[in-house]
Amino acid sequence: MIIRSIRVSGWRCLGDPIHVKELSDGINILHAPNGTGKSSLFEALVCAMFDLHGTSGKDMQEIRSWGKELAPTVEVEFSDGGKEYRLWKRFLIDAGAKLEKKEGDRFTLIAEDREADNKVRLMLSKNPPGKGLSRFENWGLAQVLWAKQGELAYEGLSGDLLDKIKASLGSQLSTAGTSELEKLIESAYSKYFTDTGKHRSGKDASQVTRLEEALRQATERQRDANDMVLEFDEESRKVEDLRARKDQAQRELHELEKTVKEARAKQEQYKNLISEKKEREARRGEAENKYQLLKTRNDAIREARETIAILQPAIKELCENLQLLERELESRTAAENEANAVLEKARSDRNKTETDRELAAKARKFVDQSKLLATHQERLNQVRKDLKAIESKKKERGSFLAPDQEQFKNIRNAFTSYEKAKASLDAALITLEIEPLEKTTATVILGDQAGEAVKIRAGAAAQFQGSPKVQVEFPGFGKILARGPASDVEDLRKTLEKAERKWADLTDGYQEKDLNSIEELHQRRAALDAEFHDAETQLEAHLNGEEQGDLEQELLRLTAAVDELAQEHPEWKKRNPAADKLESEAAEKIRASQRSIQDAENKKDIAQESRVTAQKRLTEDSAKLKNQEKEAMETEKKLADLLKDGLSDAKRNEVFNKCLMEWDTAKTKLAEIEEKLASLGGNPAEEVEKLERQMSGIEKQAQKARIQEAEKVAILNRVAEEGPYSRLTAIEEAIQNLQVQLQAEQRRAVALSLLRETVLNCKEDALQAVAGPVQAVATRTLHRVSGERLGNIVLGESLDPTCIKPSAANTEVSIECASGGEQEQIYLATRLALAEVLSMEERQLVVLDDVLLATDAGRLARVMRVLEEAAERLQILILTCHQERYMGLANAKMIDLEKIRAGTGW
Amino acid sequence: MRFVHTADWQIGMKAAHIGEAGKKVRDERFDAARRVVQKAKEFEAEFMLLAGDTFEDNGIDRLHIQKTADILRDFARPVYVIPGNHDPLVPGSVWEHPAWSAAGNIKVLKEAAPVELPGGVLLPCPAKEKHSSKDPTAWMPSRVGNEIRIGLAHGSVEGVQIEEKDYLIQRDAPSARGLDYLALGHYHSFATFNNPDQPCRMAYSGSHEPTKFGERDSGGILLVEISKQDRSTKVTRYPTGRLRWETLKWELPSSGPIESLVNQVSRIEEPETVLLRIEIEGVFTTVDTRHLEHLKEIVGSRFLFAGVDDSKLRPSPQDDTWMESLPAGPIREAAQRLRQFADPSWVGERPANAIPDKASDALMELFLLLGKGAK
Repeated sequence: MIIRSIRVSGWRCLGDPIHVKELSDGINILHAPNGTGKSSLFEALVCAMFDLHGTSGKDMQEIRSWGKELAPTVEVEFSDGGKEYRLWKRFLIDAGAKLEKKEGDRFTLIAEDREADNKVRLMLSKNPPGKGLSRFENWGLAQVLWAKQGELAYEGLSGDLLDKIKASLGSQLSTAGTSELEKLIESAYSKYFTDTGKHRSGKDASQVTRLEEALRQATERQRDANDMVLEFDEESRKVEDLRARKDQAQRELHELEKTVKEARAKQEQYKNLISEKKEREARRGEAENKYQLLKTRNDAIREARETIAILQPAIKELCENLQLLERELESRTAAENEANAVLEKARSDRNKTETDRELAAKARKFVDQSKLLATHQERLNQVRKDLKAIESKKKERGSFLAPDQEQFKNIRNAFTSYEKAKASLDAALITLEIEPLEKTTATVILGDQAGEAVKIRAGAAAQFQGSPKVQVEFPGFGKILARGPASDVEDLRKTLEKAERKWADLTDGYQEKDLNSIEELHQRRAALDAEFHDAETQLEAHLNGEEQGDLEQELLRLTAAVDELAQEHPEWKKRNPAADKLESEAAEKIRASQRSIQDAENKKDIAQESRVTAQKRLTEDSAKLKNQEKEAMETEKKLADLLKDGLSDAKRNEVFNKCLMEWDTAKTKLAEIEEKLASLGGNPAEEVEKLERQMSGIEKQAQKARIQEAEKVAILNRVAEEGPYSRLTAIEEAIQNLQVQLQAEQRRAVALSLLRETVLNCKEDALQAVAGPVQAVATRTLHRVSGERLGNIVLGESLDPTCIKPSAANTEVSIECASGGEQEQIYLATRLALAEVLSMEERQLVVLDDVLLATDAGRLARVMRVLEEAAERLQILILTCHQERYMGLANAKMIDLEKIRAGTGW
Repeated sequence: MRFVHTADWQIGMKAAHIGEAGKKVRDERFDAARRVVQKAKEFEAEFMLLAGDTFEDNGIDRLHIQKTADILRDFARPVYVIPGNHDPLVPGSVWEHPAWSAAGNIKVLKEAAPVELPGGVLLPCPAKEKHSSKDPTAWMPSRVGNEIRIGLAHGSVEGVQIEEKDYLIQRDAPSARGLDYLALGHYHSFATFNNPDQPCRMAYSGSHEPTKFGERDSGGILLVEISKQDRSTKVTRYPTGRLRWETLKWELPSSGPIESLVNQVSRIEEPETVLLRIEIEGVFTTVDTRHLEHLKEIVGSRFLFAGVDDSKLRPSPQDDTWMESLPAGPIREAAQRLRQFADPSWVGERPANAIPDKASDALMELFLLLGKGAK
């Protein structure tokens, strides 16, 4: 599409109509100073081509002519697809659109309003805006062809434009046949897959999906059938096991019956043997009893005889020993009495030593108390002395008045304040010092001494003070006025007076009024305070925490104690007793006495023990003799009883041996029976009972197995009736059938997918192959303008320059790394290359609105050459305020917008 | 003594690999059983021996049992049947069905114990479990008299290539067990174990109807005749099977063009009784593709079952005539690429999913779409 003319009115600064006409098919330079309406013109062109006439809103309101209630109106004459059109649009007020087509020499209306909007828009774009004014992505071809003011750069092109460019690029590769076959491929593919490559499901499910579902269901049925087959096998196995168990139980029962029979026979034999055993045991008991009686009698006779033989000599010996023991006891008693007498004497001697010990103790107490009394007396004297010294210091300090530390500090501060106030006042006053050659009388007119007449000697200095002025009049001379800076002298005076009063208050009562004297008083008072404090410290040390009264009491107590002992021992008054010696002698006597007592006690104990032992043995032997005499008498009586049977010892032995033989015979018979019983291994009754219980258990097991078998057989028959194997067979065959179909369908789906993918890849490669030249053309243009230093331009998937490959670098470099001017040149080169692609079918309009601002003059000249060449295929409209930069374009049509605005009406 | 020896009827047989044709194959086994009975009647056989695996499984449809019993009852003379490893004598087995006792002539031999025959004795070896390595004939007592002794067993004879090696039987079982004839089941093909100059004393009758592709000498019965005088044997095989399980292997181009294969298949007689498996491999041209489609149409409609395995077919690298008919541009380029991908020896870079098989299929799809486009 190229444009022939454009009329605009009511558009921002273009309130009045302007008509830019007779545009060249080649390069057109529309120049004018800033603010003349170049960009508004461009904007009107964009709105005409892309925006609906009914668009309103804030964006559209903003394009209205400033300060006027005009309707923004644009009319464009253009050529597209070899046909000439005229488009008219008015926005906001009486909005409308008309599209006319030139037929012969006249334009004929072909569409109005919305239809006109759409028809025009479709010429450039398939991506209309939703609401409001169009945006870059809605511009269609113009995204590449038209660059707004200063916006050569762009980021990706919209899908419809990419398609258009790719279609333009690929058109040489496609034919009608290709398209037909592609449709067939797509159609076949879409039976299996969605646009996103997923298998179709739901109501439009592909055959693959349907077969997969059928297979899944069949597989579930197969699982059930398989379970039934397994159940059949399992139940069969269970029945088999139960039958085996039942048979085994039967066999065991049979074997057990035989065992029980044998056990019962044994049990009968056992009963008989037990009965016989009891009889034999009774016989053996009788024989044993008889034997035992005889044996006991014989043993008793023998024992009695032996006892008598032992007792008789023993009794005799005991009688002899008793006489000896009585004499022993007498001698031991005498020895004990003697030892007791010695012990009594020793204890009597010990009492005498106690008197010596008491004397020594009193001597020790006298010596100690005397020493303590002397020490105490000395300490009390010291305390009395300290008290006297304290009293003296207290009296001395009370005799004069002097400031303490705090008071003196206040006095010194008051003095300092006074001095300071005085100095400040002096500093604030103007001082006039006069030293006349001759004596004179000065009258003070202004100043502290105002009204005073002061006489001054010749050569003597006189001072006059005041503030802020001091004026003194001298007779015959005149007045002298001294001025000083204004200050608050009165305040300073008050401060001084206040300081003086404080000083007087603080020093009131002291004899001395100057600071140094007061300080001396203060120091003297501090020295007296220190001495007083020392005396008190010394007293505390001597009292050591006690009161003076306590010390006096203690002294009285000690004196009384010493006097008491001295009264008892007057000789100690003259000379202290030798306490150590007395103590030593008393102790030695006590130790000797204790040793004597100990010895006597030991001897007395030994004698006593010997006497007790002798007495005890005598008592024991006397008792022993009595017992033995009694035992001998009883034994003789017992023997007499045992011998009353009247038999001789020989006859008695004969009867005894006969009894012994009878007993042995009975024992042998009983052992034979017990041996037989032992061979039976205990009472078979328990075993019989156990076996019978076992047999009953096995019978129960067999019965249980029979019942279980019947139950399982019923289950087995039920499952068998289902014909599980046949059922599984039918399902597996159906599954096989489904699998074969599914495999074929999957194979076809995969084949179609691969076919489609390969075709798409080939198309993409083909497009890439033809897009490559675009990149090459852009790069060549860039090289012509900027030299080869920037290397190759690399286009992205959206055909926007993503980076450059500088010849000096092996890697790609971001476009942002290039200078501003170079970036302009890169985008211009790319736009021109793409514009060439888009102009393959027909000449297209390229609009550049003040876009080469950063490009230097040298490169701009080369850009001009490129544009001149491009103009052979493109209509180029350059909007600029620098017409001189494009003067080099020999074939360009220069259009002065300012002149048009001045001379054209509409 | 004259009797029919048959085995491995495999009633209720599963034929999952042939899909829906399985039912027809199963039905045909009943017809074959009827033919067996018919033959036995024609031969005036004194009895019939069924050497195991009468049924495919104990879990088959109970109606199959009744149907089989009815067929055998029609023979009217004794039929001695032993359970095989597919239908062993276990709880819930087919042999518990009342149909057997109802048919008075059918003797299901459940114990390894001699059974009196007119003029001889039968020593049966019923299988009582699916798998076992024991010799089922081991129980047979030694020969005592001169009577005809016939063994009936189901198992694998030493050296015979059987998939299920169960119930191993010695090759010299007839002499070792003192048998005049040992009727065997388990192997689905007819087989004897005697030297050509010796009488046959042990044989597999084979299945009465073939059971699968590649099965040799199946689909028949044996008529056994034993002389009561010298106990000499005569074994004659008679066909009873009707279905043919055929496999055709075709290699392009050495076996000829697919057109020839189509012609050959078209000439197969009684295709409704034929299960046909065609395996085609080699390189194909676009012309072959059309014939291949035609072949699939024929076999799919005429035969009891037909499977065409063309997964090993590769497009001919030289066949670019049809590609010239493709519109120039991406599609023709895609076809050329796919042809490269389809060549397993091609060493160029290929997408992950473009393996030769798939590329070959894709190419074939393109070719077919081209044909549709032309129409």
